[in-house]
Amino acid sequence: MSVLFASGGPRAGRGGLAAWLADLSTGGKAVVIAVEVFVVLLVWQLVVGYWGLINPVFFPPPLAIAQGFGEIVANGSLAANAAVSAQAWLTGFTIAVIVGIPVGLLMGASLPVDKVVGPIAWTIYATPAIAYQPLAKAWFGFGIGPVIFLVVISALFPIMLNIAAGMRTTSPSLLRAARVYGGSQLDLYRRVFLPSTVPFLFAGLRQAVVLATIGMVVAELSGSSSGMGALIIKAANTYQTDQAFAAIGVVVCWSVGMTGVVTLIERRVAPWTRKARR
Amino acid sequence: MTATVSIEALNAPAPRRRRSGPSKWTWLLLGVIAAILLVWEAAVSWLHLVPEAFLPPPTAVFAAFVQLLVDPEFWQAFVFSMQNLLIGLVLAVVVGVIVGLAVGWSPVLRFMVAPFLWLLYSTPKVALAPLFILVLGLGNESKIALVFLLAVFPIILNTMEGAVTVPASLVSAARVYGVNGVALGWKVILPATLPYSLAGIQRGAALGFTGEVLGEFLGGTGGLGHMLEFAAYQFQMDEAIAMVIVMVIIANLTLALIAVLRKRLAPWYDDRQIMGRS
Amino acid sequence: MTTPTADRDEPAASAPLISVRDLTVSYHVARTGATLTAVEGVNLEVHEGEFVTVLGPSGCGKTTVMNVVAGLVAPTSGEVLVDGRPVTGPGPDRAVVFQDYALLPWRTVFDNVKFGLEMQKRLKGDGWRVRVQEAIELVGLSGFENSYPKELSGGMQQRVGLARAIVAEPRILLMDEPLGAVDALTREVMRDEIEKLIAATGKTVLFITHSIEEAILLGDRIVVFKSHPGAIKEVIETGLARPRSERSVQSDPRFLELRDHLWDALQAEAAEAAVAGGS
Repeated sequence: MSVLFASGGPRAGRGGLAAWLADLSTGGKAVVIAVEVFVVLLVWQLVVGYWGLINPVFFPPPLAIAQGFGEIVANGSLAANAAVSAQAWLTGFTIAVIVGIPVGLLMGASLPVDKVVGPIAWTIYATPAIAYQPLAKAWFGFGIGPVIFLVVISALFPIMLNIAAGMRTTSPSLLRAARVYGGSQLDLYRRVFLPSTVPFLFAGLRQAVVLATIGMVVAELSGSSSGMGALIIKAANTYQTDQAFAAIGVVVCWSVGMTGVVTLIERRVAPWTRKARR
Repeated sequence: MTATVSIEALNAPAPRRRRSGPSKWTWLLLGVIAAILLVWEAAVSWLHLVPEAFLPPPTAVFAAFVQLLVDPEFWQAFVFSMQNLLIGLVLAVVVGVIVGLAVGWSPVLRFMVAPFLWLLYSTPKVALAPLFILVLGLGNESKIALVFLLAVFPIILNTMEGAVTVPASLVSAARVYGVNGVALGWKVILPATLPYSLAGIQRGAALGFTGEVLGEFLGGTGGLGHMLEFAAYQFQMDEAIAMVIVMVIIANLTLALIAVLRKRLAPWYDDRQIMGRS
Repeated sequence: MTTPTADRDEPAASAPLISVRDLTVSYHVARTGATLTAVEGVNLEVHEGEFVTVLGPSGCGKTTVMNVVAGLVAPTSGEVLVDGRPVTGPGPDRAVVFQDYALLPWRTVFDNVKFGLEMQKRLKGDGWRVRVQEAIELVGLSGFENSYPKELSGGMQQRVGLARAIVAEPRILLMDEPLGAVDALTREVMRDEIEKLIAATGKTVLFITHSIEEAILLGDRIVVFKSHPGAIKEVIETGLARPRSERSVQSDPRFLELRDHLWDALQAEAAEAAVAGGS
């Protein structure tokens, strides 16, 4: 994010608006962005809702979406479906973490394991999880099973592969330092390899959050009778797109919120990574 | 430098690059895969631990795979999917690179637009799929639009990051030699940004693939996704698994192709510098 | 001219603390299948309390020699004795200060300084806390105990590296171009500080550098290396009085004489290396 506010070297001194923006304080920038968001929402509302330049069924204006949100809250469909989704997401993510971390560590520690598991994992990871969805549906039925499966398969590999990469990119110079002071093999793993891998673990978890959410939505859209995806598709099929957009908004909040949780945990567990990125 | 190499070679507990023989690991990998297939075959065909209808043995999957390759219907579906994917991706690349360069180049645009781009980027846009089908119908248009929508944001944001990180010294050097305006963009900014754009295109291609397949799942009139969905629906698991393998091959080939492009077009670029960016 | 003294007349009474005997290290380069000789036939003796600087162009194998003494690299032939016993691996009698600092980024200054003690299982009782604190004060980093390496300048990071080595109380300090990655001004300040620090603690030091001034300013003896393959070219006594400082030494005629001599030696070496490297 910091890239947004970087006043890029040669491009800075262009004067005018650029200079003015570059000179703003953090608070000032936040105000400008807030004003901007407000203007965008206002224009959207006017164009679609007031002047009716676009069919509001296809692209409902902000106020209609807010209303749609009120409706799905009031009729209880949001709470019911969100609970199902959250359950599937959390279960799948937990499984991915429990499996992904040890396998990733093993890949990082053992060359043969890495050479065998690595190519297989990369091949599965390179394929969008949606390809596995029909199989999951055939095997696990129409309930929460295929959703959990897709969340697991979406979240597992970024966690696993990032950890393996983290282990393997551990600075040889740190390992040397540990060995100079007589560190044992166990010391090397506990005090050097594992802490070096922590930032990679969190990078993997952040990627996994985004992919798991996509996996969840994909699984629920195509063949689930409950969950946020099912709510979205039901609303869309009955032309209640305002409700569909509101439900999408909730999914976005979930994704952003979970990423925030991961970052929060990272700051607690690994405070040294915080100042690393300016 | 030699000393560092030696330490790794002599004493590193973690695997480093030891190029004693890539073939050795390839054989190990092939051996493990063969063992897995053998156990699978034994469990299903010989020991009947799993019902064949549920999980067909590798031989049956292979037979189904060969059947697919001689089935004109399959090739029709293949062309349908690939055409949509290609059109959507080309559009996404053109729009993504232009927007990314513009936003990366201009601090004002970056300040104004980038926050929205980040928001849209991190939104699970697959959730919009039902709305696309509602608006654009069951034909090619909805799929192309989905491919475009899912693929364009990683391309924009990676290109933008690339354009922002073009070293100031590089731009200054070009200016010193009188390169300016369009030539500056063409000779300096674009090549410097290219590896980033290609990384974005790689991710965009994977997401575009998701878009195409999801579009076919939801509003199926043709394509590989539709065929897969149909096979799984009819519980023809041998054909369904064969279709999944086709998709795995397509996805991995696409990634490999872009990786080759990256190596050809930007061989000077250190791959690891853009790894880990999503 | 100076008087290069390749073989020193040592009083037979004191046995050398470090003796490198006919050391050769070569690597098998798996990628090309070739064998690369890093150093060949190196003989060197360092006595207790001596400060020896090792000077040479990059790639001359001086770091390899240091790594063998540290116990990080095994000799291909020949041997290294420390206090009369052959080196088979790292030991508490030797500590290394690395060029790239090698600080653990996830540890604060205090925890980085205690790292050596921790690895050596010497964190029993409470005495170590005082010693860690003293070492931090000695290198002038009081007040930064809870900072992370990322928050410190290069010079300050190397002070942490120095403190980590000193607190382990080794008999021998091995320093691998410790000021190589530090900016020029800080480097000059830190040279003087290292000089004082070592004078105060009386440690035996093997100090790798590619800076002529550094080699003269710090060393009792200067070992000049040549490359292709790495070997000792000559050994020179500096013969400068201690305590020294950047200022006092630089106007000393002996300093100027040494500098010119070393400059010529390295120039000749660089010219040869260019020919060898170009072929």
